[in-house]
Parts: sequence; C-alpha cells; structure tokens
Amino acid sequence: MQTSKEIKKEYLIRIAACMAVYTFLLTSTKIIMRDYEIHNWIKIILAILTSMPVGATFLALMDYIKKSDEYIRSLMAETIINSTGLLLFITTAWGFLELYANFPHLETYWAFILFWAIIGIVGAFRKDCHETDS
Amino acid sequence: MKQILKELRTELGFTQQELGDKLGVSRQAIIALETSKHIPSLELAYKIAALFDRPIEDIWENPYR
Repeated sequence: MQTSKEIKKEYLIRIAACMAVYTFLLTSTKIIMRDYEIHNWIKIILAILTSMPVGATFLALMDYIKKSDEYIRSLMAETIINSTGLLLFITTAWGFLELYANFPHLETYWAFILFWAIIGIVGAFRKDCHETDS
Repeated sequence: MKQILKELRTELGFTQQELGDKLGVSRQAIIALETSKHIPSLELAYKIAALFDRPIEDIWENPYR
C-alpha cells in the first residue's frame, strides 16, 4: 500500500509530466502551423493531440483523489468544486465583458490554464496548509 | 465533536506522522482529527478505537447522549 507521501509524489510527477507534454505540443503545433501549409484534417489531429495532456491531468487528479485518505479526498473535492465554480463565473463574466464592453477575446483553451491557477490559489488559501505539528 | 485523540497519541509517544502511518492516513488527516476539523468515517473511527484499544465513545464524546 502506498503512503500518503508516495501518493502525492506520484500525483505531482504525473501533473508535471502532463504540463511538460502540453507545453511541448502547444509550442511545436504553433510553430508547425506558422511555418508549414498543412491540410485541415492534420490541423484537427494536432488540436486533439494538444488537448490530450489536459485529459491526462484530470485522470491524474481523479486517481489522486481515489488513492488519498478520506480527509484529503474531502479537501480536494471541496477545492475542485470551488475552483470549477470560480472558473465558470470568471469565464461567463469575461464572455459578457467581451460582448458588452469590447474586452479582448480570449481563446477557450485558456480555461485549462486558468483552472489550474485557480486550484493553486484556492489551495494556498486553505486553512489546513498552515497547520503545524504539536 | 469533543475528542481526546491528541492525549491518547502523546500517551503512547506517537508523532502525528507515525499515527498517520499506522492508520494509513496522512499527517494532515491526523491534525484535522485532533483539532476536530474532520469527523472520521465509521471505518476510520473503528480503526483508531482498535489501535488505542478503547471504545469509540471514549475517544469521541457522543453529543446526543
């Protein structure tokens, strides 16, 4: 049986690997699209391929929740619910700002980056992070 | 819910990490249990009770009794 430290380490490695693959695919796809004339079906494949690490991060997150103890599981569930709510609010508000107030258009793939940024911020403000041994 | 988990742990000389390892939970979970921020599941409560060889109600005060 894995310890909680090992579970967290595995999760962080998986997330870091997903992020690295995502960054590589995103930048290389942009370069390919900029420098080469390619068929639309290849563009579709590249778009789906770039999205794959996003799906993999959620698999890693779900796996982490499944393997964690009941307390971590409840904290993570709360963090994900809060982050998703905040993400939906921000993206909806931004959509209306674009529509009514001519705010610059943001591509929807930013939602993924924003989601992880929000998870980080929500996690940092969680009270349990600042507890000490006694 | 009032509990005496910290007293029991220090009585046996366990650190939070050691107790967590024995129960298969994180140190954060032990901190949350000792500060009553987390009410354990029945399964974890039974595990803790068995480890300290005490009935559950000796560890967590029953607020309905």
